[in-house]
Amino acid sequence: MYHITKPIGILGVGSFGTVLANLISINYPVILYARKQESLHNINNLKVHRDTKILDRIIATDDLKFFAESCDIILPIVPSYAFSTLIDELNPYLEPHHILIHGTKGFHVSENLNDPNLSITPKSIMTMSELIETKTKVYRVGCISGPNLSKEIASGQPAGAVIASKYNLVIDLGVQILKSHKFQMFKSKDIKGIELAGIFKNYLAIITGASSGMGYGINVSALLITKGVSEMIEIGKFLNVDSKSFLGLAGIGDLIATCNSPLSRNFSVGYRLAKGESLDQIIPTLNEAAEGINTIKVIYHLVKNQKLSTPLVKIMYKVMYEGFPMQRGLDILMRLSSGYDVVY
Amino acid sequence: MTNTLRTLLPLEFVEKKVSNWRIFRLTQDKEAFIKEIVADLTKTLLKKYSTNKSLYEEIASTLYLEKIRMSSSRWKADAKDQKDFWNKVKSQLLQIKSDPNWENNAQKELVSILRNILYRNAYEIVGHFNPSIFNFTQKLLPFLFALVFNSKIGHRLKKGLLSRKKAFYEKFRIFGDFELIRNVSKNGTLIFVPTHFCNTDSPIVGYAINSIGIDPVIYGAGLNLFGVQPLSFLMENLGAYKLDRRKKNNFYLETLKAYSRIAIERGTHSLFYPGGTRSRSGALEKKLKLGLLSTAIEAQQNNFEKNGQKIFVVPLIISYNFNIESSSLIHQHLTEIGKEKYVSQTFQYSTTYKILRFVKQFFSSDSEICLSFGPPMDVLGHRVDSEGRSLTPDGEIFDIRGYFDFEETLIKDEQRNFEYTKLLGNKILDSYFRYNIVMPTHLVAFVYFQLLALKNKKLNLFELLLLPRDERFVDYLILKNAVKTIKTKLIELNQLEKLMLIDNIIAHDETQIIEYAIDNISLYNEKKIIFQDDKNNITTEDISQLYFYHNRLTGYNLEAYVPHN
Repeated sequence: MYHITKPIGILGVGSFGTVLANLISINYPVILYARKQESLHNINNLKVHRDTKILDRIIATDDLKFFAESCDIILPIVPSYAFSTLIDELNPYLEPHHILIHGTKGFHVSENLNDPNLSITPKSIMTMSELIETKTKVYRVGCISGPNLSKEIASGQPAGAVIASKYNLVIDLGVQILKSHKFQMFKSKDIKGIELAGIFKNYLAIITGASSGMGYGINVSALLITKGVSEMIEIGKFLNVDSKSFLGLAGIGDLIATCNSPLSRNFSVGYRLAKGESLDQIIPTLNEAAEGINTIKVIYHLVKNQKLSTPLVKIMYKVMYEGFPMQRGLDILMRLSSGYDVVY
Repeated sequence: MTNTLRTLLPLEFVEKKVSNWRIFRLTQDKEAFIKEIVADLTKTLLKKYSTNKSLYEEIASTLYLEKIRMSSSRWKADAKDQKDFWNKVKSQLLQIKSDPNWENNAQKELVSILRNILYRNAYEIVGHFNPSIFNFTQKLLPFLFALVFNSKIGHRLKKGLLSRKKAFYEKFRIFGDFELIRNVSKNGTLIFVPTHFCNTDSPIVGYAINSIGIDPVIYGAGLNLFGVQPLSFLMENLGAYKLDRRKKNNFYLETLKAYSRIAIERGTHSLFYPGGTRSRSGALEKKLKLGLLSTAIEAQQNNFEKNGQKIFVVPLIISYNFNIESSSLIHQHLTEIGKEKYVSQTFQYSTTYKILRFVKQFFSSDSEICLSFGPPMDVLGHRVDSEGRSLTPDGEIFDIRGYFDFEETLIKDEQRNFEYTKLLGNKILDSYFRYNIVMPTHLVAFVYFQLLALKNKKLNLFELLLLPRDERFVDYLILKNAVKTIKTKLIELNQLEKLMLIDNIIAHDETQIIEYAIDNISLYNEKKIIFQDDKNNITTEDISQLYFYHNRLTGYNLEAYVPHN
């Protein structure tokens, strides 16, 4: 146990940031960083934010300097598209003593995703921990991931997550601040594997959402999830990542949660696509980002010229971005050749 | 090419008083130093082997490993009383076991045996520094060349001190930001981490370090080298400490690391080869041994606790146009990676005579040795300013102390330090590639070997090495054209600050570069590694050595630019 005297900082007041603040406040005081005055008011005065009651020992601030100087452990819990900008804003106040544990399940891509000639190589993508290590002075970085549907945690149900880092100190601190009677914590040294597991499962959730939207049942869902794991492992190998982490809480655990739940944003994007809405119609109605929408694009362009067996991402990309009919896409996925079941 | 300052070398010592030299202070304080190592290690090891049983088992395992070593290999430099010592340990262990309740009672005896082993290790490892012998060798080296060699340079060396030095440093060229290294040496402890290609590297590196005005460093040298006179005498007195690579027991390895770490904590400038051993393939190191390197991080952690003294790591890249050990090195490399696929051809061992012949040939030729100092870094690989303060890539000054803290308290954490060592290792490797000085033989050997490989696309490396003599040639004009292309690419990389080029590559055209490479690459060798046959084609008598020199330019992705015929 380390002697923690300073409050824990959480960057971002989305639904997951908010439930994490509540979980941590069981153990330690929390400072939330929020930009919008409305969020500050909700948290500090009304003590309710995103329909969630804010527990005692949580305050919010819009002063990044104060935030960084007050907290040594900071958890950036923001969508991947906003991550880089926010880190740039925080960077002037970050020092070597800071420890960052993020909870973002998306890639940072150095290419323009709207470029018609988009081409992505392993070098053009970074996980959030890699982005932090590249952009800031901070080395001690961790990642929290797992089946954590915010609404369930907010309603008081128990859950569990995995904390990953190269550094034992970061893992131990992560456990120490988050573990409680309502929240189990597991450890991992494979941070990149855990990050990728969290990223990959989002696009698989869109696919299972689509199958559900087309009226398919649990059999199809199970088929897609399992073949999805094979695909994750295939892409993981290509990115030189050990596949073991995909079989844990951040991989299969999170897949089971998101791929079967209407509470998942990514699942509902797939579901609505199957019901005939277009991406352009869906995106503006989302309260928070569905990471899978971009992830499908990124992974498709990463693997399109590789000799990898990744039918799910290829078909779903065509459905989402090239106007391929959803029913035909799923039909193809249901008629894949009868290769061996487990090849990894 | 960056500033060479070579005509001004050697620079005055930053610390002029020998009595203030850190290596001298360490020697003066030898007894206390050894005591500190033993006390420090005993404490650490007793934490690790906290029960009598575990300590007993580790001592017994050490005894077992030492017995095997003593019976399987004997060296001249081995201590005369080693058998007696270990026999005594054996009888003490038997004595302890005779008490049925030893697991509870024997702590005092076991700790005493442990201390004896550690003392013995530390005494065996410890080096010595004798300033008079140091001064003598400093003067002797350039003078020796003058006396012994009746050569172009020898003639000039005889003329006078100034001209002698100038001539010497024309062959022995040193590059880097000397002022920065000298300045940071005033604010902390330096650790030089050179590339390693040859057994003669240590004296050469030592001489280069002194030439830029840094006082002598301590360095580890294989115990096998201590069996050869007069090398042994010189090393014994010039700060070398002894590494016995046969000893794999945990206590010995820990003593070695503690020796390095505590010497650094005491402010002694050090040198070690992070590659661990000579590069067998001829390529720049691509992976480092992190064990000894981790002592830099550990020492910095402990310094932050004690006095805040900073430690700086200085990469150093050595370039020769030819390497006297290339034949045996590449043989070892190919045997290791090829196993049964590699069919060995005869190779030569270095002997004292051959080394002397090398020195003579080297100084009578146009060849040169280049030593390139990379910029000093802190122990996490950040560049530093002249006061030794760490800099971000954007040039912002910052303090690295926080990396070792949690909430302003220093945390001693071996696992974290190991991760930091990996970061440092990567920065050292980057520096090796960035400050590598490419010489004509590297360029020509690279291009020639690549052309041979292209010509024989279907062959794997080991089949290629077996090509019969009449199939090894490459058309001269094709080679010339390819050298031109790769030279252009090298100049581009040089402008992008990805590598350095020796001036005779920049100043000369392809014909001259090829001619220079042919003249120099086989200087020491009985076999011609690159030569022109009677039809003017380029060919070789030894493909594996050609491969060795070729390897120096791997890792820059130049292969794709070699033109196909």
